[in-house]
Amino acid sequence: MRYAFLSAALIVLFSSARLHAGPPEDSPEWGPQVMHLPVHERQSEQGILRPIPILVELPASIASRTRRVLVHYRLWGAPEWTTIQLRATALLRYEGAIPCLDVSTVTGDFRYFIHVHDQDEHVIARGASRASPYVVVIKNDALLSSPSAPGKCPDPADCPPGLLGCPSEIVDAPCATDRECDDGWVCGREGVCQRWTEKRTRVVVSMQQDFGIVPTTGACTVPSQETQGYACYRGDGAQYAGTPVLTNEPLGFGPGPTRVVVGVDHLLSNTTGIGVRLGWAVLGRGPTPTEGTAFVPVSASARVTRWFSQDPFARLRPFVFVTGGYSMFDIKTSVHVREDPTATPHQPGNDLDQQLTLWKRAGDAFVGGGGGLSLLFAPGTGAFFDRVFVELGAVQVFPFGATVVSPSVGIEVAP
Amino acid sequence: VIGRKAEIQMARYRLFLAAALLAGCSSDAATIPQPDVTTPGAFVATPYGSLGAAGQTPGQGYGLFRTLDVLPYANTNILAIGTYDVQASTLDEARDIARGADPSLTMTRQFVNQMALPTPFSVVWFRTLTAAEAALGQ
Repeated sequence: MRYAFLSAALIVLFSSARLHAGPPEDSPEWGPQVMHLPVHERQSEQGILRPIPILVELPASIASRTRRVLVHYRLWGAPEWTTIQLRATALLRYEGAIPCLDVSTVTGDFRYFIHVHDQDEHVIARGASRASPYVVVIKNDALLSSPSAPGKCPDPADCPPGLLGCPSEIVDAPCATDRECDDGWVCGREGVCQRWTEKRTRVVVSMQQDFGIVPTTGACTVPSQETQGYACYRGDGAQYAGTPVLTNEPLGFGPGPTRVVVGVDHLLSNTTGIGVRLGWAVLGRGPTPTEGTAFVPVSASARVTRWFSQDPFARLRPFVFVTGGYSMFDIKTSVHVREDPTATPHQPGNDLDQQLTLWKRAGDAFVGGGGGLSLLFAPGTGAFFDRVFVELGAVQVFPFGATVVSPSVGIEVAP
Repeated sequence: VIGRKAEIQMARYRLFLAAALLAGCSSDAATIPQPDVTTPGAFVATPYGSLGAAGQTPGQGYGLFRTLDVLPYANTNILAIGTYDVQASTLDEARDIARGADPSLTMTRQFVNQMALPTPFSVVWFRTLTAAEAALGQ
């Protein structure tokens, strides 16, 4: 287990002179006592505009692997957590203070918790948690149960950064997963927590292989080849122009174009997004019959995506989507043709029964949907992308009909 | 009572659905046109050597000819045929030869009365004639 809870490894000391005030030690709403370790000193309340000093002593087994110790705190009523880094003052000790300006003049519960990170920025120990943080009650001086210690910020505007009690440099919170970040924040590919709102727009690049299902009954008649996008070719390469008997033939299944697709997704909410895609068929173009419509390799589509997770940047993110757009699909399959021997022949060399190569140029519009799975690529690896995904789409093409399924694999990049 | 009525309605619906599906399948019974000896392009197997083609003496198996043209004459037809210099032991083998027959395969043209065709004969394959083959029958 990667995490060793700080409750078994960490001692937090508060340097205030007003000790042992507040609720009993086993009360869950107070800070240090929840560590269930001998508490040398603790502080349950603090005056306004005064810093909250924090001293952390780590066991040697933890300290030897520690890179930095972070304190995440949140004022009463504040929507977000702020992070400061404690300074190492001795081999096993880290010290710092929540700035008096952050404590401010707002009275009420002040919450914080502590994370200890190793060289890989993994959390190896922690004190309290975001869900159950330490609590210090901020009160006006007159309401304190014991006299307030000196160190009150005299003038917030003159408080030099870096001094005890003054604003500390806010550092990026390292992370390995989204769970280590605050609400509304996600673990970015740089390995630090980022606001997910900053990553609402994402670029996707993928490879897509189309497969089509087309009806083949009557596909090789001259009218079908002239008006329905079919083209049938014999083994000698000649386009079929015979007189087939209308026989019931099974649906044809075959590969379609291979496309490179680029697109943009934009999140409207945690679970819903819209996107556009542009594709280029690099392989799989069929032959164009004489006087036939030329193949257009460009495809364009729009989609609405729904994720099955409140956190759209969770490590594993299944999703479904509906889509529609423009595209041509050249579907290659084969078809059996029975020649009508009683008809006046229009083309020499057609056998009584023959297997023809069938191309169906389906298009130009399509609607459909699909689903997939997006996987967070390990952050901090230096990759230029941060997610990979696989998806399977199924669309109905019209007016030159076909049913097309399109598996694809790609990457997502947060610009 | 309501449940019983619903069951009856569901049974009727299933019966209707099955009938509709069966009706859809039954439309496959169309007759597929077959080539016969008077169809230009038909490959016909006859006892080997029975047509008296040059170099062919009656023997075992089947010979193969192709109908090139048909000329109605009185109450019969005069067939322009091209006889291949091949010999097949079975009708299936004759069909395989016909399927793979090279259009440039040497044929000996003959004219025969349909009524005088040696029996038994069997149409084993069909392919539409090329221009050269059709010209040979003229």
